[in-house]
Amino acid sequence: MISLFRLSIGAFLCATVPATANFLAMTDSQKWRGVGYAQQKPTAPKQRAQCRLTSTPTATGNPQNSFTIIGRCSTPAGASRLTLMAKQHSNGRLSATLTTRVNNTVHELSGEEHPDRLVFYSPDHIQLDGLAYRMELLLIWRSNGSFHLSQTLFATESDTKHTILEMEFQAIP
Amino acid sequence: MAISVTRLAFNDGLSTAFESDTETFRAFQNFSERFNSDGAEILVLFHTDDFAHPQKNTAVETFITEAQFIENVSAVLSPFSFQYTSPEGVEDFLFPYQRPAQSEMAQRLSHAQAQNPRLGTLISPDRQHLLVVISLTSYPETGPDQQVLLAQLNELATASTADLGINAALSGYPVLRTETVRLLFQEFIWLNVFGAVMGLTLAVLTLGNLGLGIITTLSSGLALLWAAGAMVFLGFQINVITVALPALILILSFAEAIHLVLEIRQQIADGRANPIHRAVRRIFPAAGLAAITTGIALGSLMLSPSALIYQLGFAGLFATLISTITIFTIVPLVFLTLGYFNRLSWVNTDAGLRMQRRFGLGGLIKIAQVAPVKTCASGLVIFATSLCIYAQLPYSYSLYEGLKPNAEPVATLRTIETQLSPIGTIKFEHPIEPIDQLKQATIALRGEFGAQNILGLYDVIEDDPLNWRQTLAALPLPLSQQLISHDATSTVITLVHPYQNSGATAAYLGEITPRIASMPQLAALGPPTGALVLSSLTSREMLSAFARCFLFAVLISGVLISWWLRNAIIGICVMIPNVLPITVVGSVMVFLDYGLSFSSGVALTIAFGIAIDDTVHVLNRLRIQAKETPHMAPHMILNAVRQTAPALMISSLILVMGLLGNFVSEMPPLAIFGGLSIGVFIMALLSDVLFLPALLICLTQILPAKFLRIGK
Repeated sequence: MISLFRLSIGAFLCATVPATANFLAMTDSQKWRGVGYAQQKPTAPKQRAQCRLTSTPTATGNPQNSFTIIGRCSTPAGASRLTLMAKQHSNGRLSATLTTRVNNTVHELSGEEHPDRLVFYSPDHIQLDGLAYRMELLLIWRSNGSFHLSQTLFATESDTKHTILEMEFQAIP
Repeated sequence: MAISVTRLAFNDGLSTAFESDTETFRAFQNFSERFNSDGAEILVLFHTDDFAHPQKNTAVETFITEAQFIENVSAVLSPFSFQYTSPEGVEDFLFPYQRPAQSEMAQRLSHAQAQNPRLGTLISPDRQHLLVVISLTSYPETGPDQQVLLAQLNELATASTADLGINAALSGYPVLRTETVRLLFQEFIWLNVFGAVMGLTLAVLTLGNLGLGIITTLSSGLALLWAAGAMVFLGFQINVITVALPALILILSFAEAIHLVLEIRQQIADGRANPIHRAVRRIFPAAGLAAITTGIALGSLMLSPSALIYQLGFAGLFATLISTITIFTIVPLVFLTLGYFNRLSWVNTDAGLRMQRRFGLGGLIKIAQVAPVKTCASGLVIFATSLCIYAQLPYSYSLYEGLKPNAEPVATLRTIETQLSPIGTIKFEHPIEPIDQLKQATIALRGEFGAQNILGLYDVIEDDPLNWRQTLAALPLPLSQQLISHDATSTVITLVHPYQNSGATAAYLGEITPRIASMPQLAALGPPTGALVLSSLTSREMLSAFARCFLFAVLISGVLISWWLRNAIIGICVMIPNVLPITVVGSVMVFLDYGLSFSSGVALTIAFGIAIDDTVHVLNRLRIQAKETPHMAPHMILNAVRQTAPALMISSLILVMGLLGNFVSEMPPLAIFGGLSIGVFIMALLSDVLFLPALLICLTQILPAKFLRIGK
């Protein structure tokens, strides 16, 4: 249960990687604070959640097309630390590696850019309580520099969808 | 050496107080090496009229989520972690995302507490107290870092809740320890500044001369710096027990310096040649022996099985000797320098000599002169009676004794214990597998002590015991490491216990151990352990060792004085007036229902070593007179007491006034230390001008002349 929550947070971290110009913006050192709700799984109840992240350019390689985000997210039930290393490829697509500190679980994620939003997804299906899900994250940038994030799980068999995470992020000066 | 004082470390001393070569400590050490400690948990107690109020419980929830962003916070346990199944069978968090109205939430909490009694340990049935347990990855090592962490939590709790009429208070062992260390630093400064100011004031008043007062103060200050520097060099740390020692060294230095200055002035007034050399020659044997007897009293503490008390004894022994050497080096050097420049005329003032005569205590000495037998008999009766009462002094120790009962962390702990749950913990080790054996043991313990009082691995894995490894892996690491041993073979079962003091816990352990031993389901359960068990079981042993330390100090001091006087009978007899102050003060403790604690044990032992100094000064005068008349006679005894009485009175006044600062201390052990020491010093002065001369006069009437010879 907790690992899915971490995964969702990790996926969200990828969502904070905007393509092209926005991607470049994330290579500046910046702190973010997000407030919203999260669910541990589609059938679990909602809880208030907060995240705090710091994005910095990756020390090795080309700092303009890769960066690292270190973050911590919490709910009243618990918190987890996460590390994300993201990269923008020459074809515009994004890839990311997410590592959770607790058990060093590694998740590979992909992303693509649309005119007004970014969509990220986990290429592999996620198994939860015997059901397979496809994960999708939607990131909408606001004109004031903040952004909205939602994470949705699509059950592959029943084609039902569950939004298990929604959060509004502001840059911390 | 003095510069090293800046490296003086402050520590609450809890980690070394019970470090000893005892079976209980070895078992605790073995347990601590196998399991992560749960000592790094901060308790935040919130209080308001009703936590069913949606805005109020949301405010606490905000605190919980934000607290997890503070460095070192690893996990939080609160009622917000609990799930709830409604009577209709709907599962949700106890405090759902969409908060219900106050009345509905109140019903929900009431129903939840009936479902899960353990919830009652985190929120009170009247919904006015709510507890949040903050688990740390590690508690910062230095005091300032600890204070930063606590300030962050305090500020966050206040900012999240204060506007809604919610009161937040931090407690738990880390908070108690940090508060103790903060007070230690504050008290250390206060006691030394107060001692220096009182010493200077009294030196000026009693010597009747500002210049002499300044010389005395500077010499004493230097003695403290050198002694404290040596203590740092020897690895000494300031803790609850040792915080009074530097101030005591300062006050003792004042007393010694005044003795010496008085004698130098007397020699100058008498027009003696080489007055400074002569004064040092006359005073140093007594001052040296007095320093040795004080050092012996401190050194006797090295017989304690407690590492903390041992360190105090070791450092105190050296500090006393260094301070005496400093005084007998610096004061003569200052006067010799003044003499070299022919600047000693101001020393011998009429005002000063008149002031000195006011402290003669002639009335008391007269009683000993007029009625020596009655005075001596009264002293012996008081001694015998008080000795019998003193022997009844009970032992008393509490982990909270470093702070006042109304100090916020202590008061908060007491509120948690009365409103929510006991927070004292008794630990038992148990093998994890076979898992069914763990289940049977847990169920048996729940049946014996109540389900809400037993915490352990089985609570976490109850739904799926066979997959305990996966369940544990989902927990925050510090929490899972508290539950299972590093080699993952054993788990710890915790019995919560309302802690009052060590005596009560030791009695409780004595009661439950046979009950546990009689239950076959608990055959694999290890013996009780943990910090509470260690402190409760070993504190009695540590405290009983004070009697051994004290007897050793009396014995060695008696032998030394006998050797110094070359008279064993008088050497042994004069110990009675010196033990008397201790037995009398101990008896008063019995009547006031005080027990022998670490601070009182240390105070009585050290105070004996200091009180004996007065006797040594009286005997020194006798020795000086014995160079002309070797056999002790009543007129010699009375002369010796009359000659030393002003110095004894002044030094006692300095000791008493210098320790008065302890009474306004925020730390009860310091007030106890000060009160007991002052009591002993006053009794010692009375004993030395009344009982001692009367006893010696009686000896001159009883003993044959050959037993009255003193000195070479």
